[in-house]
Amino acid sequence: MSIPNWWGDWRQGLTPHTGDLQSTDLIECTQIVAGQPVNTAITGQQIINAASGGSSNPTTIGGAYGTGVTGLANAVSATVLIPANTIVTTNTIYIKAFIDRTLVSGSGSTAFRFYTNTTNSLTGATLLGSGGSMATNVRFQRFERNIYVDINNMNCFATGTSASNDYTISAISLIPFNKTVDNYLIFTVQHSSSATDIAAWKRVIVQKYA
Amino acid sequence: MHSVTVNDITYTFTEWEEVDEIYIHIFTTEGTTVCIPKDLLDGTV
Repeated sequence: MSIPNWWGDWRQGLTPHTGDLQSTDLIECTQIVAGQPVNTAITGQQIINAASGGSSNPTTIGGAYGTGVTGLANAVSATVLIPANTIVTTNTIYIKAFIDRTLVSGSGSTAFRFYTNTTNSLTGATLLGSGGSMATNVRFQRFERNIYVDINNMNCFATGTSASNDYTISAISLIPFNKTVDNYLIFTVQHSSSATDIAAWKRVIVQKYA
Repeated sequence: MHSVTVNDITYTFTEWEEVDEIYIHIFTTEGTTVCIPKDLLDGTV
């Protein structure tokens, strides 16, 4: 167990704090009781919790700036790692993204899928859903998904439904999810007919609600 | 009925769709959709 750094107390033998507040820091609070100083301490974590409204929700798991995809293959634009043991039962994974088509010929459409896998590969990746298909001159899409995690599964908006968000009612898709290993969220782009078009999951943010 | 084993997980399925020249989506008997290289039908990686 490491020795905490102290705020507000420079007594010999205590390590004074420098840098940003850490959850393990101790902050001394001195009261005068019956004419005598009484020292108590609160932790950095207590302050962090209070500063975020008594809750640490949401916390950001990771994000990515996706690369533009050309060609007609189902190609990876962005990947976000969910490290092992980041998620526990009853957490919700919240995905929000900005999708765009930066070069459009006007013909064909573009599909935006996302998967989960325990390796950073499409081989063996399980489909979690698709954003709205974008055709003709549609260039902008705001994407959102909420995924509730139970004991064994991700509880998803119907994975076979293409939609930019999950604000509406839907069938539920249960996707097996092992929380104790690394899991990757893999975001792909596929153009239907115009190989010179360019599209991307330009900005992806993945958060956790406890 | 087809089967494929990927990352030590075996999936069985009867239907699939072509995604591109490399990948297919298999619709597993468990109700999930899994992306695999098309040359892995009845194979293992």
